[in-house]
Amino acid sequence: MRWAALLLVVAALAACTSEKPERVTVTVLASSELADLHDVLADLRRDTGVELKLDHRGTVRASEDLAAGVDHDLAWLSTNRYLKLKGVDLPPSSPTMLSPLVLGVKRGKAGGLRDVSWADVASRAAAGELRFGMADPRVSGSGMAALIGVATAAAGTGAALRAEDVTCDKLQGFLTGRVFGAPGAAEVADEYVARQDEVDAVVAYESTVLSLNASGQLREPLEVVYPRDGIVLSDYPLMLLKPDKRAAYDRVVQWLRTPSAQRSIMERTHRRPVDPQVERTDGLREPIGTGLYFPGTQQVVDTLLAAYDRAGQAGRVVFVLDHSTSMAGARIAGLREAFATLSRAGGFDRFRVGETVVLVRFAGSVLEERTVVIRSAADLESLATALTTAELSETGTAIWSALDHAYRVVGDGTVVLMTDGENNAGMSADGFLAAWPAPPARTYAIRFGEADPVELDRVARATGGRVVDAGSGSLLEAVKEIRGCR
Amino acid sequence: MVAKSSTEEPGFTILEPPRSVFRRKRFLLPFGVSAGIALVGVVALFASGTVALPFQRITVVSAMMASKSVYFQDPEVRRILMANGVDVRVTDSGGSREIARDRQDRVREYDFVMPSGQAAGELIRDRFGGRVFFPFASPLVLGAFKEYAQALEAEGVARAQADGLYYTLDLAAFVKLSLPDDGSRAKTWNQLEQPVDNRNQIVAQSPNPCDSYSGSAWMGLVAFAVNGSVPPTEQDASAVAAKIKPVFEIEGLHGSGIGTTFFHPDGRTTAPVGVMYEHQFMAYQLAEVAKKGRPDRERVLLYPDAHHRTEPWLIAFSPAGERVGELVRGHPDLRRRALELGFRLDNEESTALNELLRERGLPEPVLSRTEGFLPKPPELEKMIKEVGRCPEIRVPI
Repeated sequence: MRWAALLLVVAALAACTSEKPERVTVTVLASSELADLHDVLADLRRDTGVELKLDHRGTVRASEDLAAGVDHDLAWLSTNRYLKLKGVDLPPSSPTMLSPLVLGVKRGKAGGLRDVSWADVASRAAAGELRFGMADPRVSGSGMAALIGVATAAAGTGAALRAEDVTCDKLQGFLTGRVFGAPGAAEVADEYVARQDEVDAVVAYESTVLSLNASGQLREPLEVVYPRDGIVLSDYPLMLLKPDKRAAYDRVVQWLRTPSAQRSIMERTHRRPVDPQVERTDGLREPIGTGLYFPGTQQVVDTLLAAYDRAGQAGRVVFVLDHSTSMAGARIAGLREAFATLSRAGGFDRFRVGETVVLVRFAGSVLEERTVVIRSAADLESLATALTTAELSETGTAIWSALDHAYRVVGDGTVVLMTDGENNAGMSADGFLAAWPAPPARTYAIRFGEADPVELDRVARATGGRVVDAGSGSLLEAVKEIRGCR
Repeated sequence: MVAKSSTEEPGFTILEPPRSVFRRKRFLLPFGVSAGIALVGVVALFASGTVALPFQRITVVSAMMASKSVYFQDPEVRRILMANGVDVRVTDSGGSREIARDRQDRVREYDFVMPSGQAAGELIRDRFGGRVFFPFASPLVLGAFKEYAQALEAEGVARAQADGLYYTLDLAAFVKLSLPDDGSRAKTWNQLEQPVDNRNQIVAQSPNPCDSYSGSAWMGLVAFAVNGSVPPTEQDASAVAAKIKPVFEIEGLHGSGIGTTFFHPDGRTTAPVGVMYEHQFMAYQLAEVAKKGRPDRERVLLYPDAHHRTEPWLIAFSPAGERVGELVRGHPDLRRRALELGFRLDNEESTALNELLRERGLPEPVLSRTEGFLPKPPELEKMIKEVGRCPEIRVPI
């Protein structure tokens, strides 16, 4: 009798437990930072029978590979935007979790950075006040998102970045702060741990920064800083590449979107749940600011990468500055103010560490040549005040002789000429052009007042530069317009 | 010798027979209680139709759709369908127009598909055939965070309806903010009379017109507004498309699923003003009221004054698909649930959603009576291609 009852109970229990799910292994091309899902994937395997074998790669590189064709069953990247830009048909795609790109800044350095814009970040980086690590944008989605964030904010149109907005290398100031790179978002975290004493910050996903803080490997905790004018949010879509794996894909997506899986992802990896019903942990409730309109063409990404590749080169710019008496009053005051601003603030356009600035002052002849190699804040300060006591001279205006001098010292840099008068001393324009049939440096001219636009334009255009008229706007704006262009 | 013997009579004691184990008190009480509970359970399961499940054949029905998957993934809808022997497994197509593009050439392998609107439905029906059901409808609207709607109101572009949860949007004036007449750059949100702290240009973020029904219908509405409240014709479709193209370039790469992300805690970041369906907004607010007793007033809805009613089509390719079509169209519980998910039913019950909103303590919206006409399918395709730079969908005409 007792045995019968026991048997009955066992039979009933057996009927209640569902049959074991069929075991399947699928291959997944995955963003490198998803290595942190290890424990979550173990639960997934236990509950659904689906084992995901992740093959890690940076998101930008993985998107290129996907567009060219891969042999994986699924893809799980931080975003499918780079794949969309490739113009390929998007595979079925379900967002699984969220994480914004942020700066993790050491607590001691984060003071003035609470409510920052990308321009503030770029400005501090250019001044050598913010040194950071970031992943390589040629490979990694986090690196590319940072470039897009900076460039979109620098263009300042309020619309998605277009290739033509990237004409001037406004990225250079920001990239001055980059001390080390890494192939992917996961590697940048490891690299940060190894080199944390050399730098102030890391550009990475919020999840990476919070995980670093929780790792116990940091000597100084990081604060999460959201660049409030241009947040790039990653939504980690799981994509089905092979239609015959649909059953496994549907099972995985369904499981990942259950509240318990969403909670487990949040607690283990610090990513925000996509399920709004799941109560978020403290650090993940922070409102994160305005989203960025993401560029709509691959050409923009390519243009940004070209600018990024040029960033390693040391910049050199020669300013050829008219100090004849006609500059007295508002003009010379404007010139001095422009130098002070570009040295002390100036956002994306400011002078930056690593740059060499040569000042050539002229009137009837070259009055002074002064070179500032910017290595520190003190150098920037000396540049800010370099013109404040410079005297004007009544000896005439030798534009072409001054430019001839600049070409001899320019090296591989650019020349910016500012003048308000007509040439009445030294070389003639024709003589100058005969002496420099192939001008050695791109030349920009900023003209005010009576300066002859035709002759200036002739020379500037011959070098691939152009003339900017400061008569209609402020000198500072004119300088900003051509700063950093090569 | 006579043996004397004395024999005692055997004595019988009648013992009470042992009580059956089933009649013992120790047994009876717990058994009675458990049996009672079980009976109540069985009655409850009967009432819900669940008890019959193990004895009933469940048909697994495969379907493909975009935003309308919320309906088939709703637990209550799933339960009612299960009770009727149907288990619908939905595959997300990304966007409704993706179904028509049929990149994997497998549309007809599904029992049914459900594009979000009639123009996408026509494309699919004309290419693949199938039996069409028209279960419900939902107007195309903009969801907005409160301060953005208020900024538009201060600008004279939107007008709050009685309760402030809904606004009426002057579509032509709104589009003008993104596409000024004088050819200048679009205004940014922080340049308005009542600025919002956002340096992005003003535009309603929308899914890509190439892939999604809402994106393509929104483009059609914008064209209608820009073209003096007349849908572009064969003659001027290209010119109008070229004219409105800058509006759709502001956002760059279009997002997808705004009707979902808008309601996330990070909704302000992903799209503070975005194109969606009314049912997405109403379903959210009905759920908020059920949970918190009041609607979420941070998120409001803008009804364009040129009204476009989207009609999701259920296109069945198999008897199983047709069965779902009949159930969704006719089963009273499913129709009731559709209302609770914010959909509008057909003309027979055109006021049903309003009644439900009133019943649940939500204000009743006022919709524009002016219909915003979309261009005819070939013109719409031409314009989508021009504006969206997308792969063509063959229009069988």
